[in-house]
Amino acid sequence: MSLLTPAMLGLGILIPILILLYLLKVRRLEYPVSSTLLWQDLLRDLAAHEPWQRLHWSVLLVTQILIVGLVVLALARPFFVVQAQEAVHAVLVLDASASMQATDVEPSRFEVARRAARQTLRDLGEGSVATIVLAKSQPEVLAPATDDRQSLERAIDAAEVSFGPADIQQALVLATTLGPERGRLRVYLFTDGAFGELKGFDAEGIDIRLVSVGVDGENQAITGLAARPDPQNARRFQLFTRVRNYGDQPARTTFSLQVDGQLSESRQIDLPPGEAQEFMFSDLPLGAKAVEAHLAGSDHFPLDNAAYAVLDVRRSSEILLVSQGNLFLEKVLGLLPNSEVFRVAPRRYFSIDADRYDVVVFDGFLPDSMPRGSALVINPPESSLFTIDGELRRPRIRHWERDDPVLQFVDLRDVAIARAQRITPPGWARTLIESDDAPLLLAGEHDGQRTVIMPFDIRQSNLPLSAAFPIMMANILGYLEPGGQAAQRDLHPGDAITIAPLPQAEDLVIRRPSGPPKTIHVEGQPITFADTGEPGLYGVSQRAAGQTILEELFAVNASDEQESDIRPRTVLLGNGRPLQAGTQADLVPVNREIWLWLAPLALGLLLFEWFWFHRRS
Amino acid sequence: MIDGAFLERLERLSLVSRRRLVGFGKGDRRSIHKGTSIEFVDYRHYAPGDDPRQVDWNIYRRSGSLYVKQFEEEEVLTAHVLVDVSASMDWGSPSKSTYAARLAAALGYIILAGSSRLAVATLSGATSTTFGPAWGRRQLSGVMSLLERERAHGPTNLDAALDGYARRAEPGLAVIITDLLTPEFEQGLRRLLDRRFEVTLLHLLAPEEVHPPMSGDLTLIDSENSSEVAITLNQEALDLYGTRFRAWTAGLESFCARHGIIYQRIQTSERLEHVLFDRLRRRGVLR
Repeated sequence: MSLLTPAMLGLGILIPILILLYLLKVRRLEYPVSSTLLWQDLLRDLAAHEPWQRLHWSVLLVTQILIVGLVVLALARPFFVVQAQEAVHAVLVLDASASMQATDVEPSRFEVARRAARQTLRDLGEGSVATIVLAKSQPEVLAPATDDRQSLERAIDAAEVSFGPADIQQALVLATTLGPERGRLRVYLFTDGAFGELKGFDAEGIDIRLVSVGVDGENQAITGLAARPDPQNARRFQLFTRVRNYGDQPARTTFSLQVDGQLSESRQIDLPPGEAQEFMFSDLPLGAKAVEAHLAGSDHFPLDNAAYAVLDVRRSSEILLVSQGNLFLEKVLGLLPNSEVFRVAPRRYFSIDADRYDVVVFDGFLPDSMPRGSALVINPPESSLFTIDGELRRPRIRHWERDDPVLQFVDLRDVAIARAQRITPPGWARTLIESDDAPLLLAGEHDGQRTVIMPFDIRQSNLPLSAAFPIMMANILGYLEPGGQAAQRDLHPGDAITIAPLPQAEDLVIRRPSGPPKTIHVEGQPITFADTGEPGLYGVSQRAAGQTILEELFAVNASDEQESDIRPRTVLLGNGRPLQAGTQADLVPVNREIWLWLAPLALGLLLFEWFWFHRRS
Repeated sequence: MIDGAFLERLERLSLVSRRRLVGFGKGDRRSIHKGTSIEFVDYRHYAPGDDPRQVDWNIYRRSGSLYVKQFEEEEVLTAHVLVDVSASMDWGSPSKSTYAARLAAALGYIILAGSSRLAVATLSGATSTTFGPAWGRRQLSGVMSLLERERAHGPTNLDAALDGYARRAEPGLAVIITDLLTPEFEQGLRRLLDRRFEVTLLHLLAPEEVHPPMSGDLTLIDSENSSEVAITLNQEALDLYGTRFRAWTAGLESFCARHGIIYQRIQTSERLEHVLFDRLRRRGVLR
């Protein structure tokens, strides 16, 4: 045992002082007696030494000496050197990627990692703080640096595994930037290693420890399921699927295919280790809407044993062209797949119900009130939508948004325009094609409806003759057509999907693979739906006046080429060095102070002294 | 100080003089026979055995009660009641001096009623204040006024006071009421004995003096000379005091026994009645 502040032992002088106080004659109470005759003799025996009295070892004196001794000793801060874990700032990074759902360890890799994390928390040295980081596609701090073990354990309990990949590198970078709150920074990574190497992370100078979970990578997965129209027959669909064996053993499994819930195909397949097999199904029934593929068998990762695809049977959209007659437009709109074009002259526009069309193309005409559907406005006259400020002569195309979906694959370098309206861009629209002076193509959402403005007469340009024209028009109409986006999306669990309702739709009813359907009231505005945690087929019904007016499906697939490879691997750092495993913290000599025990002891003695004193008097 | 009913009861008691036992006649007679002298002293109740010739028939005719006339004998017993009124007596609850005054008054009445001559003296310092000698019940008020007048004061010098009293007074029976809290008293007692006094010592103590109730760190202050004794009264000191106290009283007793002095210790906590009718009778002071 040693002392941190041995100088405090000097206060031990208090003990002799205390004894001195006992020796000194105390201030006495005066007590009149009849005579001191009998007492005087007594005095010779009792008080021999003046002014000192004989020291009586009373309980009080002994107790007080002990109290003073204990307090002085506590102030000197005695300590033992013990081998213990040092206090660190531990950052626990939990891999929440989908592969952590693998069940090669009971009950799952994530649960085992969770337990290991809890154990690591318990094993941390005294005075340590910890931070919990959940590595998902974006790292998430579940518990900020704290030494409150309970809140840390609660955070671990609340952690949920994701269905997608995890950005371990970003999580580690986050962990290392948290900075030591107290003591040294030490990062624990709980992972199965089923991700690529950490190319941009060399862990230089960082105490980082790997806690591996997962022992076995046996997994067969449907890594792809895609449908496309038959080139020979647009109404038929071809289905492609790929099944891969990620394990080290040959696997035999049964692949089954369900079309609209009916079993349509089942075959046994043999997969050599590491090999993939692809199948094509071309005889899907006509009018089929969705397919599900399943792999039977008991591998360690059931999540990717199912895949879902929605056959892109698009409802043909109805397009109204309001024009005096424009051959180019009629021709190009007629070429669009899945659409029906109706033409009306501007003077007869008000006699028809424009609200029932999905898209209205105004050519050289614009009514005061816009229809409920989306609109393409070409060469417009003056209107309340925007202000026209004269005319542009030979505007030069200076820039266009190549990345915008509307201008994808559109090359406008050779396009020349003779005349265009000079439009002041309204606030709701974004400029897609810019001249030196004014915009030449605008797109945006006006009153919740998508609107595209092309402020020039296409006949006053060479655009209709260029290769860009049909592509651009297809893009524009694709942007303007409502619905349909759902089926095109490749969704992972947790992804948000934007659903644009039909103009007349009042409610959206979303059916999930399990659980009750969800009804969302809409007023023409697109809604974002993010409750897609469960892989499977989702149905979206658009309803108006109690009738289902549009039924669509979208698929959420958990399979991921990278996540399906659940083989536990060594984590390689950016410098090629493997990450060292181990939770065992090195023991370091730690001063364990014992004043914490001395202080209550002194307090207890103090209470005893108080009790003893009052008991006597 | 003493009420009438108590006085009436005291009539039944009388002081015993060892020297004059013969003169008082045989043991069971309660009264002193005084018939020979012609000097009338007092009346007293008739007791069986009294000479019928001494009955005052005139009184009997008037009141129907039998009284005998007492006449002074030629050699009448003189009884001295000496009360210590030094400051140390004014201590305790009730104070020793109050108790001593009542005890002296009671004894005085017994003596007066017993047709002895009574002298009462209060001793303080080297001096004494004396009442009497006198006889007859009527003198009781004088005794009482002296005892009430003489409040406890001053130091004790029993040697000097007793010596002075012995010189002046006619020898007889001396009852001394004192707490003896003085180192010098033996000389005075010897002087009384030398003068052929028959001495009875009533050692009056407060219970607090026998068993001190106080404890802790104290400065004890003497009530007479204000001398101080600083002492820590713990159990050990109290035990030591008890030992010392017993040795002291044993010393007193042995001194008195050697010199033929009747020694009786009385605590102020005892009832006066009990002291008179029981303690002193057993001791042979009264009967």
